[in-house]
Amino acid sequence: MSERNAMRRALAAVALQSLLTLAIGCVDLTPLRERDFDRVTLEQLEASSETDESAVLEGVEGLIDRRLAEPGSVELDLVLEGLVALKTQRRVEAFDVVARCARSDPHEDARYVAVETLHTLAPERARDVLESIANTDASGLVRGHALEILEKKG
Amino acid sequence: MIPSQESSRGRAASFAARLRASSGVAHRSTESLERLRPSATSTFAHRSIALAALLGVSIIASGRSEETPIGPAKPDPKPATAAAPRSLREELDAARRRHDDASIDSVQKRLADAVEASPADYGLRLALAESYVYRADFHRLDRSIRELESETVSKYREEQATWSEAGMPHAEKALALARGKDEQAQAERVIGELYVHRISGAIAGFVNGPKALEHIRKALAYAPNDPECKRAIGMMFLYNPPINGGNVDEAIRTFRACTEKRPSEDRYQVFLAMAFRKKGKLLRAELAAKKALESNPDNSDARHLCEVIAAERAAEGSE
Repeated sequence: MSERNAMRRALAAVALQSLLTLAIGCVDLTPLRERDFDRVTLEQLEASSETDESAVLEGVEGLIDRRLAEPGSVELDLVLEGLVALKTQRRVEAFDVVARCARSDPHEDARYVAVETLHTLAPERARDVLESIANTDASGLVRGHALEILEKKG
Repeated sequence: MIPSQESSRGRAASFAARLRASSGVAHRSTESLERLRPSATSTFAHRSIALAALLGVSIIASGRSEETPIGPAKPDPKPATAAAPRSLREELDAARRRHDDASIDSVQKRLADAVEASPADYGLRLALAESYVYRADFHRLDRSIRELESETVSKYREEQATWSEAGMPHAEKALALARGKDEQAQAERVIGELYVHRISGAIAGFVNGPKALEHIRKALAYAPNDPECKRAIGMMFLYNPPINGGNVDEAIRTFRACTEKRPSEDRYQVFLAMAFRKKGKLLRAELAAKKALESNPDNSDARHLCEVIAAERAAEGSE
């Protein structure tokens, strides 16, 4: 009996440890779901790459939209991670906001990542936008990247 | 974690906290420096290594007592001529930007002659010491981003240690000659970086890692916003294994701060690219490497990184 109890305790300890590990590994994505952008962190955006939950990805779109609407309201790093999440999850619904980001974000890093995201989301639809960016963007890096993608595509 | 490790880490953390409190530094990078303290595996081993290191340093110091006065800046009968090394310094930095070891070797020889003629010149001493850091940095960078034969890796490690030894007396002399916090910061940084290059293995890491950290920490205390001092600590975050305080997220934050301070400094972008690559963020790594190349088309490391990252992205289907 005592051996059985010891076995039960050991199993319970292992289960508890596994749960704790899972809990530590989880990132709370509520701020993205609730579009509470002031509480959104880099870790949450990194974690959003690993979920296809619509509410979370809509939150990511909203974050990018907010940066475009209110310059300076959202940090560059957050937007870059958000774009990577949309790209990873191939969130086609985000095409318009990503296209606006590719055309008009004030920072070339955001435009560079948006160009690539746009192409991943919808290559055919992105063509016109990429051609325009390849000709007119102020940054040589962004122009070059758009051109590179267009050339690869043939 | 075993209890002895926990207690040793606790002691290391409290020691770091005391140091931070005494220096009064409240900077983000320096706040996380305590993570860079080596985790103890054995108190006895640490004490033995520390004793051996102390003996080693005493022996080395005794052989170069005239060359290496260690301590705060003292007034020198011969005033420093800050303008004198300008052209050599520029030549040195230009060679570094081209990753041109042969040119650095040539400038190094002329700097050594200039130091012999003006031994109390802070700028010359610092430039000479830093020329050794640059050469050692080239080797470390090559080891990180290029596929090298194991024999070459061993040879590079040995040369890094040799250059560290050669540069140290000049860095220590520069510290003795330094006037003002900025000069002290740069001399402390160079000493710290030279200690880093003495790390050729685990035991050398236990001996020299804390010394490197101590000097870089002092440099940051003198000049908390100096991008070169930040870069130096960022490189420890980047290169150190996690058990010795390596932290790729902290490296990214640090190098980003450096690039914001000096956007056209291609070296910072190269390190940022390396940190993003280590984190697995290949698109961001590619962007940083391209920026480095855009700032300096002669940067062969940036060019090589661009190629490596492009191949990795193609293989992985990117981020």
